[in-house]
Amino acid sequence: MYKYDVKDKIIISHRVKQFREQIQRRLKGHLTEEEFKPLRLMNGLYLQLHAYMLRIAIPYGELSSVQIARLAKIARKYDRGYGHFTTRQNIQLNWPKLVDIPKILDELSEVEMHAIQTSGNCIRNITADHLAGLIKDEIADPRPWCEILRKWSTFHPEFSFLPRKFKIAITGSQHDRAAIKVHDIGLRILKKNSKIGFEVFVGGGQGRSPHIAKLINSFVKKDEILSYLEAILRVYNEFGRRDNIYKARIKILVNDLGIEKFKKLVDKEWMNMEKKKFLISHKEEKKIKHYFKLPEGLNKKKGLDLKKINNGDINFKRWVTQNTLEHKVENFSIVVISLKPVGLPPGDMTSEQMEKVSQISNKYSFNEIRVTHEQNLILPHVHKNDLFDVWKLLDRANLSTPNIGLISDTICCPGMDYCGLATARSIPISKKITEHFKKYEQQGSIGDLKIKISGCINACGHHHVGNIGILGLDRNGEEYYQITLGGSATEKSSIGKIVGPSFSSEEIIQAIDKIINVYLLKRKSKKETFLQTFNKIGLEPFKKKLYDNKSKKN
Amino acid sequence: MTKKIRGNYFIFTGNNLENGNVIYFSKKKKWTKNINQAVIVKKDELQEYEKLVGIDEKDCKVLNPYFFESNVNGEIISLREKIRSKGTNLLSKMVN
Repeated sequence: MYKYDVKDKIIISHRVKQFREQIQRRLKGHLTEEEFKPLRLMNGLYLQLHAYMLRIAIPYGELSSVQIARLAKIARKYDRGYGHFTTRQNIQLNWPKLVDIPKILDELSEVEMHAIQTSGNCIRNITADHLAGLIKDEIADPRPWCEILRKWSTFHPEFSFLPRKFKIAITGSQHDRAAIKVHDIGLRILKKNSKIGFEVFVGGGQGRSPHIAKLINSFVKKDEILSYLEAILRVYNEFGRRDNIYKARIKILVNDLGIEKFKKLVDKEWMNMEKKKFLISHKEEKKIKHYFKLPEGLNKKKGLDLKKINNGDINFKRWVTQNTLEHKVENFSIVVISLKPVGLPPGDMTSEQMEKVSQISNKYSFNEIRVTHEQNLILPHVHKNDLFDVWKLLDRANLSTPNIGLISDTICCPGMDYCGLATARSIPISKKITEHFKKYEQQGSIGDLKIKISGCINACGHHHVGNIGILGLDRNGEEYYQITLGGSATEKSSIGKIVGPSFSSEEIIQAIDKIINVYLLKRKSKKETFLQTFNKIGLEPFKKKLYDNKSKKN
Repeated sequence: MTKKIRGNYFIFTGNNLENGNVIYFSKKKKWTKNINQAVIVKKDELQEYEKLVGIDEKDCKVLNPYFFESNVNGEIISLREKIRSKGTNLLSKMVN
């Protein structure tokens, strides 16, 4: 894992001191809320529906056992004993007091954490494939590049006041698990003539105008990636709209100009830049890569104990099948911890659960934990001999739900239960889904299916790219839910299509049931996923089942 | 604040600056966490109350104040404000 150097430590401690003073000025009335708001947002502090909310950065989703234990302590001491893992691999505290924020930031900085770049119109926390560095199909580990980009983008003087927020995601594999095509910039590591570089996509995003990112450069050499990104950001900073918040994201600019014209502007900027300033030295690259090496003990050969592995417990077997993946190192597994138990908010975790995961990670996973953008956690390196013990410990903490990738593994934003912008609640819909489909045999027979729920058009719950997307709307004071079908955030990203008029909260589960029934009826075999069936048959059969003999208001 | 006003009765709300708590402007012209103590303001009284609330905002007694519609008995109309007035206890099962 990355460790702070002296410079990092100085930057963070200065920032905490600065924000502490700003908070004191606000509390004394020396700063108005209008003056204070941009300052608090730069430090990840929002005012939500009920209270302040602090979004803490988890760069590229990587946490240590010490860090998650500290998050547990902070959540208990300064909040209500739980936190919410977000769709950008961060964590949010929903009830902190303004007066406690400096103390929270102090405690975070002691374990090399902060809340910088989690809000405001800057380059946000960079996200990555949650399986980075763990799997065989990877061309190169994206995390060192995330860290290089983090160093470049943090407090970048030119990009601290962009037209709007700016999100970058990186994957090192052909199979995209980082949703790169729905980011402002998506990077995929490639190898060309044995040289490492990046395929660069630009202008993706969700919100009220969803766009799949367009390819702007099929190969940028790794040494030149910073200058190329700098050129894109400069063009966006200059030409991006600032007159209308809803038209200010780079996707609107790319779409308005067309990718060819946008590319020309970027190339012109890039050509005229002093590229040397942005070259990444091999020494620096090597130094950063060193932090992301596999833990040493992982390479010590330890044979398999078949008695332990072949434990007959049926629940254990189901969990192994659904929640573990093959590690690139022989005899090790990647464990995915579901944060989607039946009837509880997706992504939420109590302090006790965080402490338990810290202990398990310390004993069984080399002190490492990952956060996925699908709001689950990962224990990256668990020896197969230890899986049964890990499962038992997780099970005691209500962390062993065997539903990864299944219908109840929903992505869900906080919705109107917490968010000041939401137009409807999303958590109760997720809760209904997990309760309705709680039988694992039924979930297993439905197979891979991603339901994503947003409580408003800002799409924090990624509904546009859900195989089944659910968008909460306010219809004359009542909550209604619009369904989209066929979305995907993989390498074959697609925006879901609206199936028809929306459904009330009482009708929504029945509607999902009907959709599932059409799929089960129309699929060729059990191996055919929902998305494959949808791509084969289109919207019509679903529409027919949902709306025939039913007059509905739009 | 007084654009496009729908309804006849209103409640003023905001957040406590120090701790973020949801608070309501009370009959005693103070801020309270208890919505049952909130003053129900008639449409023609809005401007008068806006001034009072504006002073409290300057004095840091309230953060981001605004008003929302209620009925004559102070019952809230919008779902958003209903949820906001109750707080959320979604995690009670997990935390307790």
